[in-house]
Amino acid sequence: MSLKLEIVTPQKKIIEEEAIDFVTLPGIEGELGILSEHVPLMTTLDTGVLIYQKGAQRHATAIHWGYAQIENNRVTILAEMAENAEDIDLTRLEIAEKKAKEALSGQFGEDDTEIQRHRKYEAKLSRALVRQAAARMK
Amino acid sequence: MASLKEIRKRIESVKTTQKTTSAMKMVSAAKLKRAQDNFQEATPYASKLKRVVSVLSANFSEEEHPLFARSEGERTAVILITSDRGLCGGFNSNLCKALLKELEEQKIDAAHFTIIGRKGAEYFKRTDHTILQNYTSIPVTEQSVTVKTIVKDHIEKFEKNEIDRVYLAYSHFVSVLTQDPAIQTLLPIEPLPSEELDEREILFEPSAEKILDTLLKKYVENQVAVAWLDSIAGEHGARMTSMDSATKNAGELIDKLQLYYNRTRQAAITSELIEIISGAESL
Repeated sequence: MSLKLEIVTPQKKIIEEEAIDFVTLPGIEGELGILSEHVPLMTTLDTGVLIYQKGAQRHATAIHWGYAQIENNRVTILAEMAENAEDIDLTRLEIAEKKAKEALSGQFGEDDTEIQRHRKYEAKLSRALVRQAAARMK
Repeated sequence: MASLKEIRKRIESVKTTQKTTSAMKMVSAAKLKRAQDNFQEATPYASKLKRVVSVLSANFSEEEHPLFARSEGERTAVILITSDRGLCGGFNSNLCKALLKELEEQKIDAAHFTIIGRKGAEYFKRTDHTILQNYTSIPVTEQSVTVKTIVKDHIEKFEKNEIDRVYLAYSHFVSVLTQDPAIQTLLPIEPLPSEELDEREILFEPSAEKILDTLLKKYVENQVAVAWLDSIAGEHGARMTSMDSATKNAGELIDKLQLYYNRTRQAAITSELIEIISGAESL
């Protein structure tokens, strides 16, 4: 038996593939490896890299927050944002990483809006790093 | 009877209008394709999300979550999605009329409106309902942020029991020619028919409650976002059809005016000839 994988985002369907050997997911409580005949599972996904293997080929997709549902050898990913490693533009990411790092090294106050701002840049940085990791994995 | 010069001016003015309407038609046709694609690409996520919610709610008694809680009160909030611009036939007014009728039937006479698009606000300004907020000219890139703010606001109010229900009203794109007014209950969330393909028990990580909480909010958010895309596609469809018929009507009007112009011109020549001939005869 093999797995069927679907990744959708609110904008569009990113991946629909069959005959997949295994998938690893960035689960909120740690990395998850999914093989066929996995028990039904529903989990929240963190920002991270999803990897799936089909035959001898390995694919990586950067995922930012979402849900995964596994049942009957079907893996359905509902991601807020997802990008295939092939489509990732590294130079743009390096700029994004630099910008986020610069912003984070600056001063932050103690009130709520400032904390929010800090979180925003942290999220931006982690997104940039994850996508870079995904792009390097291809 | 209008003078020849007046008729000529009239023809020119109708021709200018025709140029505008046919240009608008072509612009809408191009935008329609984009909007339709956006809408179609968003549907897989929406249907998957719906499925996940229904699988989850199969594992829950629905009363457990506050977003499912029904109450009999009359405090109603409406999220209305219309277009910013007119010249799209009855697109906005059909929806507004249908919504007003629906509210009247349910005897709700002071709903709180959150309106996307200028046209809806213009319509409901004249009624007894209150417009809390009106979002106009939102660029495509700001749409998801706007939806998040609107939905968050409504969910908070609903959870604090400040409102009893939230309706979502928008125009559903059936085809380029038809857009149907759609009015649905956003909150409390209507229980979905639960489906379970796998009889084995589902594992939840972290916990079912936590997943359900964020998932339901996402679900409500997604409904509004998809409705908005649906409405945009409908707007361009409606504008395309109405501009097409306006162009056709202008063409007919030009033909009629041209005929009238020719007749008038001929009549003027004839009467002038008669004058000359009768003048010559009397000599």
